[in-house]
Amino acid sequence: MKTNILVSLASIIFTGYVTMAVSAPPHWSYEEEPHWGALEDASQVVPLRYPYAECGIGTHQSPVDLANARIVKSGPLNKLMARYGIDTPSFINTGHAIQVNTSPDFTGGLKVGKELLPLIQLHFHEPSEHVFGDKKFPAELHFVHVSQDGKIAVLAVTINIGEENAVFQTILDNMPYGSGEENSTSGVRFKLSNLLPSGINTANLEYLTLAGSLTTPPCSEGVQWYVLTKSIAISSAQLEQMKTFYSNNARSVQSLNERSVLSNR
Amino acid sequence: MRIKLVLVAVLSLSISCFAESGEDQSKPLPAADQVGNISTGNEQPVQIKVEKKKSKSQPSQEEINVDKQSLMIDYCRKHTC
Repeated sequence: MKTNILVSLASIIFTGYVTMAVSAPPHWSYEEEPHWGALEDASQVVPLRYPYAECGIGTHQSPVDLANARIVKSGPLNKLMARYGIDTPSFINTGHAIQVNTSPDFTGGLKVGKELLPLIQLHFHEPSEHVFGDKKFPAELHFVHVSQDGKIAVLAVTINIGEENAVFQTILDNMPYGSGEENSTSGVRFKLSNLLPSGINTANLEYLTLAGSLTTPPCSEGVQWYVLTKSIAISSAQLEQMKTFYSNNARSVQSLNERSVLSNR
Repeated sequence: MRIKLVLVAVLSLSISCFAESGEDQSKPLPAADQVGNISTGNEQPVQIKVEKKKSKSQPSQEEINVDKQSLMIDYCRKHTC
């Protein structure tokens, strides 16, 4: 009898401890997108039980339909400068997208006014997340930056079908296929600014900007979006190759909720 | 008998693990203990000492920002963001 009690007690305590120790945010998929906000972390109590609640109840969510937005041609907006130099990045298959992480000693970033926001990573969505009315682009590239106070700024570049893109091919060729795998030993070096539209002035980018959120769970708000007005091109074969990693990894358009979009054009 | 011994070992390990995790949560407590010591002995110098300690233990805005930035960078390297 005593042994039974001890067995029960030990198992309860151990199960509880192990659950607490290995508690991880719930898995999510794009198929579950309408229910992201309701996904539960059973190891937590309310409100922590719903770690992605902001996806469902947030009012400044991304992406948006930019053709549907009130675009304000504002005069004194911050000058935007892309300082994306040469790097030896690592290639990561996150389980939701293909991603390129800059090396820890990379000093480039996005200069917004006087502040330089370090470039942390870039990743791809297929098809585009931001849309322009009926127009959805074949893909979209996000350059992710983190400011000194921990806020995120994303430079979004839409992707069209055209000529083969050499840098994008390098990314595809070095990307591991396994979910969660990382290739950090390729030693491949390239200039990250080669992923920007050709012929633009990288010292004074033309953009649309609005306040938004992460487009993946936990959909945290407070993200500043800068969407370039020009696109880059990849070949249709490259798009097909990209789709062998992930396809339809784009969140649907979210309500603007009275948000204005500012333009520096 | 052996089972009992194993179970006792398991229980004591679990309890010690819980105690350790509790230690982290009780980290702010030492400040309260320091406040309690103020009333003993020479008050003025002790109070100054405590104030100094408090100002040391409170991170500056710059330190908080560095922490926020490094946490966010770590998150965005592992997740799509």
